[in-house]
Amino acid sequence: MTLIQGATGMAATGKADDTGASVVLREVGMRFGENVVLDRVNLTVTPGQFVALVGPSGAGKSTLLRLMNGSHRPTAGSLSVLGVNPATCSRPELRRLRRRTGFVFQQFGLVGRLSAMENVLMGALGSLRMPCYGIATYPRPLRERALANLERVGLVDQRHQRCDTLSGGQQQRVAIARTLMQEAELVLADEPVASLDPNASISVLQTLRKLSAEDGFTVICSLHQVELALEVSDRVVAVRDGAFVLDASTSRTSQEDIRAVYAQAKQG
Amino acid sequence: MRWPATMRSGAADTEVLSKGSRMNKTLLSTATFLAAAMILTGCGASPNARGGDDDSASGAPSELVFAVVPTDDSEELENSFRPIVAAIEEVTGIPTRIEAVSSNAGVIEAQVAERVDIATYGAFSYYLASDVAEVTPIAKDQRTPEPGSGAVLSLGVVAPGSDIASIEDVRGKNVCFTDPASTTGYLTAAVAMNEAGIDPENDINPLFVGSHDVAVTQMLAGDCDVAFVAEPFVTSILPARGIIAEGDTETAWTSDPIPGTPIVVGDWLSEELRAQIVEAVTGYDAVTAYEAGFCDEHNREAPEQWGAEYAGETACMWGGTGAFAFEAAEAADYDLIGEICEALDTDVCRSEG
Amino acid sequence: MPQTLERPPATQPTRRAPGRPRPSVATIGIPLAYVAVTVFALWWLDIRPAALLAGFEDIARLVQRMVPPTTGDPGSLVSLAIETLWIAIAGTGIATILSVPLAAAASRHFAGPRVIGWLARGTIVVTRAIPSLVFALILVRIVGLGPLAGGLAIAFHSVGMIGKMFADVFEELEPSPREAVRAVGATRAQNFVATTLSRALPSLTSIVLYRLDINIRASAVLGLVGAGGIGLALQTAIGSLDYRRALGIILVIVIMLLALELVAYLAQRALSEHAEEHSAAQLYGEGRAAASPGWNRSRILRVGSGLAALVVFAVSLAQVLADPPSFGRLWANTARVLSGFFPPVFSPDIAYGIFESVVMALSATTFGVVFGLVIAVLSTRHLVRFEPLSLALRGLMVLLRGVPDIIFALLFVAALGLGPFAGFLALAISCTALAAKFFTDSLVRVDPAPLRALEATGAGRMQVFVSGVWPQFVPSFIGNSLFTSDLALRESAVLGIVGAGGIGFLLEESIATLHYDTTAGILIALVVVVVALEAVARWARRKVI
Repeated sequence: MTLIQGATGMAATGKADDTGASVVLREVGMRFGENVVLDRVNLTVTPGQFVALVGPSGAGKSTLLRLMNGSHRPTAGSLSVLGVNPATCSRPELRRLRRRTGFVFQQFGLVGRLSAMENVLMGALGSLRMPCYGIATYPRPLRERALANLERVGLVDQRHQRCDTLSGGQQQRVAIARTLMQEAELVLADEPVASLDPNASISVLQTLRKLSAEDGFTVICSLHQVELALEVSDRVVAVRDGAFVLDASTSRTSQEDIRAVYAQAKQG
Repeated sequence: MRWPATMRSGAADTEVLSKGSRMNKTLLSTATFLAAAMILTGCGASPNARGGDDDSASGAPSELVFAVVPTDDSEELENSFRPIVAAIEEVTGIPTRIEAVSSNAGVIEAQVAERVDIATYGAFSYYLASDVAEVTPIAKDQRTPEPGSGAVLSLGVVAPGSDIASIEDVRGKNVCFTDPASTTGYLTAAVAMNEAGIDPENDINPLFVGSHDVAVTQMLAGDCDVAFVAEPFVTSILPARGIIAEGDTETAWTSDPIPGTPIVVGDWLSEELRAQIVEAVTGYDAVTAYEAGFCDEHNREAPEQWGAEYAGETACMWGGTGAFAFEAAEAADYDLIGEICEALDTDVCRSEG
Repeated sequence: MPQTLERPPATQPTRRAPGRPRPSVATIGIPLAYVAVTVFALWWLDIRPAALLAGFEDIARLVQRMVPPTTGDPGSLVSLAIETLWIAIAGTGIATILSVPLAAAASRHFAGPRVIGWLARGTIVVTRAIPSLVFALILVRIVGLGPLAGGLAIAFHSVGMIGKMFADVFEELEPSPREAVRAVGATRAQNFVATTLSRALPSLTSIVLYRLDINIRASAVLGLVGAGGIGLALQTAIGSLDYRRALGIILVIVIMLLALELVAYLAQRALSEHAEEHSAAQLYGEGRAAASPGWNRSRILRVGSGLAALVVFAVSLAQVLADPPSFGRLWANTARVLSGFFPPVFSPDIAYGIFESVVMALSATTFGVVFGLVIAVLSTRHLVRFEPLSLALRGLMVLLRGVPDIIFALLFVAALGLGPFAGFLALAISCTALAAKFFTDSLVRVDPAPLRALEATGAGRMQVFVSGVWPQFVPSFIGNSLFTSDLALRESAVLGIVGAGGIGFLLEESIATLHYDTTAGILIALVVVVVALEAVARWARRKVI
């Protein structure tokens, strides 16, 4: 009970200091027909923060992330991502916003029959005008950067390997290197490790954490494993049935706190 | 730690349910259709039912098959042969089935297997069939009351003002033909060139274009200098369709008459039956056939070419070429094609073994 | 103890997870409808298999007259074959280039203006419904006699099939890479090239090669435009009952098709869609600098074969355009030719012919799909791993495809006499060859990853097939079966050869007797039927995919 009050309290204080925030959600609601997916949520994320969204599938985490990159539009409330409202801006503006926002998917979103480097280079398409096919069609400076980014995720030796011959963890690293090509200020990650084994999961998340610290980009990452969230994030937001039931700094939260919140919510 | 069930999975369940009931409905209607089809199958004869395999040696067949192939200038093939079939049924007393077939090879092979009793196709097809099947021509078409009027001509047509005035002038020119197995569209003209000392394969540039109308239109378009086609295309069919007008073409060469479309009958039929078929086909003409009631629904006014005697009469469409009548024919009438083939020795003429 | 709030969704939430597919209206209802039509057709066509056995002797006698094959002058036969090949390649290439944007706009994922999507879909359906014979007739009057008219006729007719199959491939692709690249701010065109075209390339290649195979056989239509080619020679040989020469020509065609099959097989390996044991993992060699790609066997193969294809296409274009048409008369001609088609004439005969053709096409499809499925399963590695059998079956299918319908029709006519039964059998054989090809291709393209997972659990081959292969295969099975009936409908011209009626005979008659207004009526009726089949197919795909 106290924790939920704490959550509303934080949202309220966040409201006073929105300028410069990476993401601001105000009373954002979302429904598909009769189905309420998000129920008037508030959130303010400051630059450089690593936020973990936890909760079961269907709780509204993916919808929340998709609202932030303009794939969905809210049915109520307003939002601002990197100073732009993705729900109301024009198509070119949205494309510019997406260029500044990285997105990491559970299914990686890689083209399996192309090489790791070709997939990484796709991250730079937003800064090019013409379609490209094959490594040789990308300008040399971009190729240098792609190589550097593959090095940062530890895959420089696999750069010419077919992506569908890489392990799951390696594929997700390629996907992360692809978002690095965007030099994004904000990275949204939707269950990035849900299809990976525990060792690969922790190593992929730690890589993301390290890169975020080095480059200073904000990360909002949905996870269903609480202990992983507590291990890598600065801040944990727990979602249930479209509402936030906990929003606290990771250092002040334990697994028991989260379990307590859900147990309470179930009774109430 | 388990999460409470969410609303969405519940919604999915109801969707599955409704899908299930819709599926049952579809299954039900399909099953009904299936059952109906089976019942239909059980009783009632198919519209395509074939007669039982007849024993032609012991007596009259239970059914005759009359196959018709579209010739260059045939129209409404099935309808125009219906009165003739009616005449055959009346005289022989045997039900007769028409099969309109687009390939001469199909009909000839059915004749080889003795599965087509009566057929009509082009003169060249008869020449081919006579080599492999036991068939004899019994009649040929006659376009007007004049005997022998069923013969067709092959024309060499050119655009007005062309420097080609005779068969000798085609040397070195682009020449449009229909196809290598067409009497009017290739063979007779090739023989004439041979006689004039022109090799139809090497001394000209031959273009086989597949059909008579394309040969004429593309000659006019300048794709070739001269086109060899069947006469009715130039004099009546193309002008009637508005594709060419009178004066658009000039005739540079005319062939000798080529015998008209034959009706052939299988030799495996009894002599008596063959005589009855000849009687049915040659005993009527288009006008008497109408009077006999063979074409109450499909008929026309006698055309001008039949002369004053028939002006204003109602007539049947008597065969695909709209003939006045059929006159008796025999194999010797078609020897001309064999002679052409001997003179030419082209691929299409080389008979089997 | 790791704390998990809930089991994560399966790796591919958008695809069906391996397991039995939930039976849907489409997977049950459509096959049932086919069976119902077939039962009706068995009665309608008076099909009695015993009659076929009784006529066996007649078939044997006819086959005797076909052997030994003769070639005539082998030099001229080879030059005819090469002529045909150039025209078919040029036509198929043009069709491919036109089809990519059309298919992209026609696919369900197209996000642009709706009008463009509708136009693209309309173009695909109409060009698919119009036989190449009609295109040839129109084009010869527009561009004149010669290979250009032939190449264009083939191109326009192929756009329908290639465009439709490309669109299906685009729709079946898993959406996550497309979403990922959209999320980096790429334009639609960039995204299409990067994630759709790149993933579809293996499928597109096999579709194009298959269409080339069809176009080589369809080159008989080139005779109508004075372009010559081996098809005209074959038609002439059959028309003059010179079956030994016909067989010689068929053998040349079969050799061309076998060569093409080999190219298709190699292309499939070089471009493999999913990683297999034989596919190269390293796509590039070490370059001089780490950021530059170098050359290795895989890259040389890919770039080399791409360049080779381009060169072959360019040469074929040069051949076709060697004698350019007089463009001055193009417009006037187009208007004049098309005016002959108006106003279209409809008649009860047309409606009856269409009905007959639809019944025969659907029932021939049922037989073709059943036999085709058996052949496809036996010639891929999922159930039976006996290489000689699979090679023999593939060879047999090439032979079946190389032998023209009319030859089968003649054999059955000798045995059964003229009529729908003979036509039906010929049509069923060509449906079997079509369906076997489609099914083999999509079984080969099944994603092996879930199968390996199933095998790892100790499942038997049959279990892997039922639980792993079949669910992945169902969408293309239903789609390709409907597509086969759609092709059978146009192939029903073969029925006219043996007096089985149907719309094929009426269409050929109307063209041969220059009744183009009737031709137009038939074409419109055909378009309506194809659109209806298409609607069912789209509905089915939505249910199944």
